[in-house]
Amino acid sequence: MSAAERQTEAREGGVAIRAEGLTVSYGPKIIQRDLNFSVRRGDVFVIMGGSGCGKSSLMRVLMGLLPPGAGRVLYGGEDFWAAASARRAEIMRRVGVLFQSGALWSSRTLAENVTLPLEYYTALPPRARRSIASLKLAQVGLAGFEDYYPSEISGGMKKRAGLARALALDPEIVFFDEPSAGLDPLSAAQLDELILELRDSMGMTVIMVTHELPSIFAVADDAVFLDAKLRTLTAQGSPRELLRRGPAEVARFLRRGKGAEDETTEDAGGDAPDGVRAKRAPGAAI
Amino acid sequence: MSNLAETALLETERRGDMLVVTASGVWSMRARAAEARNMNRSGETALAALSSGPESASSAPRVLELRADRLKEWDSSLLALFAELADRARQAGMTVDYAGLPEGMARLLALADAKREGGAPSASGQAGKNASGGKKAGPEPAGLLELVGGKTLAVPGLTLAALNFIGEVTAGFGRFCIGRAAVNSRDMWRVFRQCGVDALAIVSLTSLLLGLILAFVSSLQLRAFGAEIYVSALVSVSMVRVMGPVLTGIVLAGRTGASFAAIIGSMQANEEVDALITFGLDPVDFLVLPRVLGLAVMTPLLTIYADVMGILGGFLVGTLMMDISPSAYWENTLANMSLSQIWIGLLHALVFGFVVSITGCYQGLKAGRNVEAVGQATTAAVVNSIVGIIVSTSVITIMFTAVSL
Ligand SMILES: Nc1ncnc2c1ncn2[C@@H]1O[C@H](COP(=O)(O)OP(=O)(O)O)[C@@H](O)[C@H]1O
Ligand SMILES: [Mg+2]
Repeated sequence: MSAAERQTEAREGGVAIRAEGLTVSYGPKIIQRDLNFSVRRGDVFVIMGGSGCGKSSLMRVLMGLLPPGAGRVLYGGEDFWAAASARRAEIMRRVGVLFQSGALWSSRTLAENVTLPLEYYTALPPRARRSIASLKLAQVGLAGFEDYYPSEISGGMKKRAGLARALALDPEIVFFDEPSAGLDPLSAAQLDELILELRDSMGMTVIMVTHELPSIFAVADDAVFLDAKLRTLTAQGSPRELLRRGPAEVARFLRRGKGAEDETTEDAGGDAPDGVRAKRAPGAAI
Repeated sequence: MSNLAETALLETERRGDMLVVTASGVWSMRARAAEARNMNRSGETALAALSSGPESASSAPRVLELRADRLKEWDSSLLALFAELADRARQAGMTVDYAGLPEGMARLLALADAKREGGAPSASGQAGKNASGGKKAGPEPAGLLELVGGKTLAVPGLTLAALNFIGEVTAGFGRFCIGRAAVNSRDMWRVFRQCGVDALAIVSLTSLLLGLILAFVSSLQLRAFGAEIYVSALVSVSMVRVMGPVLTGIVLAGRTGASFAAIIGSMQANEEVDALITFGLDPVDFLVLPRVLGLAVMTPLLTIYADVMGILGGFLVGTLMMDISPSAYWENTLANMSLSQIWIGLLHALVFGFVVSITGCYQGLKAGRNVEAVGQATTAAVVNSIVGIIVSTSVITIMFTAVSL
């Protein structure tokens, strides 16, 4: 962790977002306190933790929806919450967000959902905006659904449309809150692939909350673990590193899913300890 | 010189059976208006070249090659255009070659292509979709009487937060006046329609009946003095000065204020408001201002209509049941009507328009993130609007009585 920190110090320009002494709270109710971490540019950064530990709330602070109780959020070195509201809006324009429920604007078609930000922030004529909307929708597998209303598509499609909208302004940083929750395993894996693909080809920084261990191991470069009882950050590092050397709590969290997968192996006739070793082996090897 | 290199350019060239489209310069969504127009023009030229006239089958190009040789900078603005070109080329039976593109660009295009195959909805589904035209049933406001009856006593006062909200709306209005607010004009038109054509039937019925009632009740008293003719004055003055505006305000509180709270409340519950904020769009500017401005325009107009219908109601009672001659009734109406009555009535209407729209939007925006909260917001919007209407009527009446108008 300190190595990673030194590394980030060395190339300050490589930090997309940094949290300094951040406290997440709703009024007097403190959810998480004294959070310190940096998100490297171009990384997929995962926020882990048990249900209700404050992952979504932390995201809301980072994405400018919930003022922090204390501490600072730095975007490229600039104190976000100390900036004037017009400047904050400007910073947010480089950020895309996929909400847990998709949060599509329900009175607008999918294409209109994507073109709305373009309408306000670009000088592009309607034809070009529509063309960008078609591209973004095609990239998330919704080609041909331009004129559908959000109420007319399924939950998984709403998520993907939300992703298309989050990408509307070619953001530098995107936030995903449980992108694969509520999707079948196949769609979830496809969404992971899509996120990685977009990161690789657009060079985006991705910050996401997820419980899905396959996702964590598949996509994360770096991760933090928020402890629900201690109400603070207890570990940072790549998931594989954390699995090997992280605090017991974190390793248990990361192994939990492995255990769940092992149950299937067990059902298939294997014995549990073997299953655990077999499952852990690839993780430890890399 | 350097300026020339930065201009977004798309060159189309025929090389044997290949059509080569080469992009150069800077392609950015953040381009200013002039460059954006230029980008669009190059795009349209290229698209036109691709679908240019009926060439003989043998001479038509068979391959579309996309290139980006002297490209300085690119984003989705160029990508979308390339995707459109590729799509059109494939429809014309051509093959598309991405080999001359930067790797990232080729991958993003391939991503869109891969997803395009398969997922698209059937043609019939699309047709059905277009036919249904997106007409959707909005949330129905709860019954007016029920809401008023049950909740009038539980009136929460104006809190600091509410005053703060009024301040924000005022600031938003200031931004609107200097043209710096991102206002959702579509919502404004919807408000015009909702409070115009859609509200006419209910306003016609209620104000006509109110005119009839006023005429009947006052005739009982005036008959005792043999002053039946003054029914006309009584009906018209009370309609124009307060009853018309109050009736319109209450109808709008039940229909429009409730729907504002329901729509904005459900947007809040569904994180749609948060999504606006993350795009840097201010919910007050975007959602509240169009509704406040819409009602500020529509309430006075609808009030004038209600006044006319009310006076017509009085006229029917006076001429058909009390044997007042139409011309006498009409003359008496005009003799007692003054311009100041009309202005006072319209002032009421304007105030009610603000009360109803601000209350509805405020309740919607401060709704919690669940469905139940939306219902509560709707109820609160109607009750608080009606209380606000009555209270502001008293204030205005006292003010004008004090200056004896
Ligand atoms: N608007 C709110 N007001 C007060 N408390 C909240 C609010 N939203 C969430 N909380 C509380 O914050 C805690 C963390 O919630 P959340 O960030 O959604 O957790 P997670 O996303 O990790 O599951 C929970 O205990 C929840 O009750
Ligand atoms: Mg959450």
